[in-house]
Amino acid sequence: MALGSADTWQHLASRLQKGVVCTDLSSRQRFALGSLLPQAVIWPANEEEVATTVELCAEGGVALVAWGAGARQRQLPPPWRYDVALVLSRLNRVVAYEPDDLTITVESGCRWDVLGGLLAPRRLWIPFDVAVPCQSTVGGVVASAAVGWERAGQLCTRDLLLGVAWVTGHGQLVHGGGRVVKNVAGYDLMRLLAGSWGTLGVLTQVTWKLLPAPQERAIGWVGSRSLVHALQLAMACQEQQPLPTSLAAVAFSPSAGVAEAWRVGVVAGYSGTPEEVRAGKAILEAKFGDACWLPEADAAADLVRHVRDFSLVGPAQPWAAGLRLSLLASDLMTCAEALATVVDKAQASVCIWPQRGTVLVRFGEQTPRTSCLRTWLWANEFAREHRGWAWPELWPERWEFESVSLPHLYLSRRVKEVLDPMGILSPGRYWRHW
Amino acid sequence: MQWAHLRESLRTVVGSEGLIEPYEARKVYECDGYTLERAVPELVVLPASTAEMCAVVRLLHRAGVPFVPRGAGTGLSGGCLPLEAPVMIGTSRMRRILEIDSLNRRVMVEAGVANLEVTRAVTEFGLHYAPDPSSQAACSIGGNIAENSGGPHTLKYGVTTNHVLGLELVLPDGEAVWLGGWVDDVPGYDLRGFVIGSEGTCGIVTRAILRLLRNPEAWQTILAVFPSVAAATSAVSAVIAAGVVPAALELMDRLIVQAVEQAYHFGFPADAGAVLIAEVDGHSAAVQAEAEAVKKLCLDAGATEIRSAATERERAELWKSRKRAFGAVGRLAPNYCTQDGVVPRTCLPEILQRIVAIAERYRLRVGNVFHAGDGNIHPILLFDERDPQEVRRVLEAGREILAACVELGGSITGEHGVGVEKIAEMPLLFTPQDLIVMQALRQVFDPEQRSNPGKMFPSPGGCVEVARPRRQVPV
Repeated sequence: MALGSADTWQHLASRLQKGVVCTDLSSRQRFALGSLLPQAVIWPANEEEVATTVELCAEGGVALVAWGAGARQRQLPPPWRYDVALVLSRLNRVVAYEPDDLTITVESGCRWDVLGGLLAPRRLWIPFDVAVPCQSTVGGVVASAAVGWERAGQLCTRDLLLGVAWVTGHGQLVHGGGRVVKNVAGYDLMRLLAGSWGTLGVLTQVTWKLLPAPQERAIGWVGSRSLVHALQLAMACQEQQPLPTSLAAVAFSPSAGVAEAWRVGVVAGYSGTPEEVRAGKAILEAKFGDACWLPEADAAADLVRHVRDFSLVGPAQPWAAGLRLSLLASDLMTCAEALATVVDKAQASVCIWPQRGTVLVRFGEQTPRTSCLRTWLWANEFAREHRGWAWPELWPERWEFESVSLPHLYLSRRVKEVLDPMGILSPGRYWRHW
Repeated sequence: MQWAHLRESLRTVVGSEGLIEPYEARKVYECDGYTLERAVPELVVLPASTAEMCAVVRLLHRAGVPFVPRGAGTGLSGGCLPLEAPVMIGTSRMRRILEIDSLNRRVMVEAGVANLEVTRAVTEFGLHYAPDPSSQAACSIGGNIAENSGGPHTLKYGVTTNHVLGLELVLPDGEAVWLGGWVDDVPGYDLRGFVIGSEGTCGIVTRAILRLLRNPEAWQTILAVFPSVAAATSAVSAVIAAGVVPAALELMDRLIVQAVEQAYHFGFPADAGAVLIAEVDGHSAAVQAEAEAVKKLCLDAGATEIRSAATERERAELWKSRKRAFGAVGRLAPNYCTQDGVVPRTCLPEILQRIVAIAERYRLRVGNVFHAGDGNIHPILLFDERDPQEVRRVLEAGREILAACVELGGSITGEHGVGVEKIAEMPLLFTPQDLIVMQALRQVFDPEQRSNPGKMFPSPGGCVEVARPRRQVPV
């Protein structure tokens, strides 16, 4: 099979159901990444078709990028080769739902908001709050190891995965984990795949651990005069139990589209039993007399949405570029103090999740490239000096994870070679050369 | 390199105190808590630092000698059995707590530090290390990482992998690499997560950075007495279905309760069919309500008596009764074999019925003490290893129990690991393709398969061949 030739797509189409392979321009344009257009878009209907597609692509050296709903595609730079968009939206079935066992297995193309709607009647949930849930799929959330601000200090995607089914770069369907809440048989492939951005395989099924949804939830806002002051307030929220279940110190730039009243301050959420929420609200009101509680259905919900979606960058968001720092809580204040001057000059917005030690910096279209670059250089140095990590998100240039040690880099490369020997899965997107 | 030369080279690295040579001294290392198979290592090496560990492993690598890592030897699946490797490398001299960062709730420890020592070291800061296996007074952090250990409180707080942020791994060629770090999020593939639970097949963990949790503001520990195991398991299902997630939900059946009572006199009713220990913790405002809900659900399910621990001392006593259950089993039979299957929680009544039927068919006595909230069962098969027929029946019954767990949608191990014990059962859970991919990934870390060979994966010869070829119990 000649790489990317018309024969390639005809051969693929003959092995898959009718209408699964599209090569028309309008279909391809929908899945552009940067300046790259795929030569074909493939919509497999089941995991066997995913396996067949990947196997044939591997045989022909055809590079593919797995797509969910696309919300996170622009977090990474485009691949250096992009022949096929493998769109998983038709893999959207619920495979097994056991509410009494608190587990659910769904196909990877299942949309996050649909999944949430399915769990709600039994008062269950997957306890984190991913950005743009209606534009996110289960596969995308796992591939990006998404973390939401809700329960950021306690749980993340990797902690809630019980099992996965996925197709390797050879086109082989493989399983890891299982459908029970405790299981140490075999290697933990779930953790390896989570956050690998589709470079190690194409996810087809995911089994989640569920938790009872909180009976009540309240989100409070305390306005502040600066990012540093907002972080001080946020830290103060953590001194007493119950701890907030979601907590963010935010400083939006004037161009971020956030109402002036909500530009700088602390957003603190309490969820759980009515007793816990009542106690949490009492803490916030005692500490900050001017705390206000956000009703879910008015303009304030817009603020919560901004905080929730802050982690995403890309054309659908108001941010053109961004970077992330992961730090120890004790270093956040120093970081915020340093950032206060940097971000003013760069007209950046900042969101800090103190419970996870996460600092998100976002730049708008108007931010000069030199300011972005200067901020990145500063962040990288700061993180290195403070036992943390910094990495860019949606950066104009490709990057390498310079902070990762050489042995780690070598092992990672070997893992990639084992699972994707032809280098066809999102080549160059996560690692510069492979 | 000749054996004698290798031995002297190792002595140069670790000194005479780090080398165990006499047969009697090596015999201590012939098995872990899984005693059905035994093998005495030809040499035991105990490095005292990462540098020594690297040097030891490098020497073995150059000599082409496989090795078996060992923590405290409390494992229950034969994970540190020296079957296909002559040299055992222990971490018992690496017992330093290197750094406590109470502000950020982190601690860095060497691999040989006992699990409970970590919590003891940070108690003054109001912190604790959450994974709490029953053997926590003895088991090491390195061993916990190798097996991805759990414990009663993993129901709410998760297993080892949820609490290890970073680890230092000495690869089988002697190079040390840090995976993960001090902070929550680290760029790159999660190799740390892959290594945790790899049972020493990727190398030896020498240091780890652990996440600590604040002690809960309030707790309530409840003991519910039931007339039968069936009633107790229905209470478990009711609690989970009601949306309450206790910190722990542990069940002991009549045989175990009687053994514990005879050994330690905790005051359990002699006629109890089963007891359930439930603990709820968190903010004081919520704990009271949750505890009342658990009590009501237990009573609705047929509990005949409910007790609550009123003081920290009473709570400690209740947990002591649970954690000493395995010790008390020694009163019932000369030997026992603990299984570690997992089933969906709603299948607990069915698996327990099947265990009873299997035990009857194989003419064995079986006690049950398990993490009911997780569906993680620990049937304890009692036997006398001097009776080879009985040993054979124990092995067969164990296999049937694990097969039943898989049939019900569960797993062959929830926290003890595969080791040598459950190798034959891996194909029940995974396809040949799954196993091939896992073994290919193992070769990323250990291309020559010299670190803990013969564990976790069936040999190419097939599962029947590897089932029990090496058992060395006296027959």
